[in-house]
Amino acid sequence: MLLVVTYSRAARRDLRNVCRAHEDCVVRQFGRAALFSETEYGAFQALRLHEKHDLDVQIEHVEPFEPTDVPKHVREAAKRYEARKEPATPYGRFASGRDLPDPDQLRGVDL
Amino acid sequence: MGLRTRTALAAAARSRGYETPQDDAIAECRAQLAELDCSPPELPDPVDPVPESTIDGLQEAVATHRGRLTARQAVGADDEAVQAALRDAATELSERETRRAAARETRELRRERARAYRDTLEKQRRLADELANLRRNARATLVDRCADTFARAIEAVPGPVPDSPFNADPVTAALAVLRVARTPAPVVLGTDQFRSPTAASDCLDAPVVRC
Repeated sequence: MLLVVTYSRAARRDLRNVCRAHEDCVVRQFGRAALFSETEYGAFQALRLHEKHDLDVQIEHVEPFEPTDVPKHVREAAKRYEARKEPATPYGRFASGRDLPDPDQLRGVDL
Repeated sequence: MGLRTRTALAAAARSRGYETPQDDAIAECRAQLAELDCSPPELPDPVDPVPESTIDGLQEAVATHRGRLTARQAVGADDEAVQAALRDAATELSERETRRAAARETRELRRERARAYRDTLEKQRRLADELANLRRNARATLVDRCADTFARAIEAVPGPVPDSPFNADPVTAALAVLRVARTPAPVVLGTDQFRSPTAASDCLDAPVVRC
């Protein structure tokens, strides 16, 4: 999908108008951003906004995500941390002493 | 008459030299906003990417020609044509690889500059929000401090007496705000609520110009 983010009032207004007029290529609309369908028409609408507002419109490619796209140890860490008994424990402290990756280790690895 | 009474009263309070606990933060916020350079950056023109399939194809061609050359040399056959073909393919491959590297570099540069610019816009937005909040709070503080003075002013100026000061009709409210404010510059009145310019000047405690 295409993520379209706006950075000015005028761009935001035009994004809203495009979303209203071309619902068929809009997957989801947020406040000043929207997800367009991964079609040439979706790209056409996104590029129109970019032509008009230049850098005040950011377009990014977004890939679908499933938890299984992530290594098992990361999923496991999230699952066990969310099942913790003491809600106030930060993840770093929770992970140390357990068989879980520490946060810096996670930060340093690209997906 | 489109009078925002609270905003006007806050301005009146400022004219009396009132300050608020938010003033330092407001000045700081304004200074930070003024410092931000939000002009859009110059971006290099986008370059069409070189498809991986092109490079793969050329690499394959180079390998094929090289294999052929080795084979011909092993049997002592004439290898001039194969050498030329290998040279051409290798040159083309190297050109395409250079172009691919340049395209990648341009792409990164464009993204970096765009990101830095959008980070600045984002910062500007946050600061503007913060400033608006601070100013709202400052206004509320000023209005609070002036509420009693304003109530007395509403009673003092001519006009219908409202059930509460902030429900006064706009003309009465405006006159009361003027009475609260310090107004060194002459006030122009478009109302006939006063008997005379002198009465107006006395009541509003401001110089009045008779037009």
